Amino acid sequence: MPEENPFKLLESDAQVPEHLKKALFSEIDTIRNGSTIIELFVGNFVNAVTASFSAGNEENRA
Amino acid sequence: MNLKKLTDEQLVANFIETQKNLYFEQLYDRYSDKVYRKCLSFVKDDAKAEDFTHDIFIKLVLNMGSYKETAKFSTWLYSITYNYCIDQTRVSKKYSEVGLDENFDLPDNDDDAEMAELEAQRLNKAMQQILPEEKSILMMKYQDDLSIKEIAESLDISESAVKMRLLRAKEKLRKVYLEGVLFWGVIIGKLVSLFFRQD
Repeated sequence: MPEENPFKLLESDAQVPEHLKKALFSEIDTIRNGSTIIELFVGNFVNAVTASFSAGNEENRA
Repeated sequence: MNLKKLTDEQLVANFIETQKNLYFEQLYDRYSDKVYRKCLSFVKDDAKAEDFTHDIFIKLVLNMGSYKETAKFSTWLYSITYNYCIDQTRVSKKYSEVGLDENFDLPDNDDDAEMAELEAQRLNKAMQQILPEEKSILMMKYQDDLSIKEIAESLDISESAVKMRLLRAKEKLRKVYLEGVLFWGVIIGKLVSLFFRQD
């Protein structure tokens, strides 16, 4: 009979607490929301600046 | 779609594509206990192991895009886990044998049968006394059953370096283990001799 690997016996049977999952996924959501806000802000900011410049040029031409 | 039927690699691909938590949640359910247990074996403190597990999964989600399917997802996750635990528990002293050349070829082994003869409780104590780097490479080989190639990829070192590190770690573990056995042998011997002297 093959001998049992003692390293396998070292592994505990502890289970990760349930609250950790909630904390982790709320942090993941926060990170994702933060990056979406930054993306939107940067995108919209550039669009607004471009639009204001082009509007200014059109006014000058008129 | 039954998520339980999807492989880890499919879940990763779906998560990257859709960014939906349900795919990552499935991966978390499959591996969180294993990661937590590995962290516990390094820190022996529930609260710290929880913090480590939390940080490892955050790291995982942030680096998901860099996962390459050349390695199994579990191997990749365990390498993140071990590297994180090593970084957190690192002792400033380096390997005393650092000067040795890790690049010569070593036979692929060897004395695994000898490792199987170690007694679990004493082994556990001995594992607490070796460096986290040594502990992690032994756990990869004997607990997670990773091949030399997989360990080399996980640690980003050559296969011969893995063999050399394994050899050193086993020697160190055996030395610490035998010291423990010898210690208790001497204590028991003393007690027996005291007992017979009183008679």
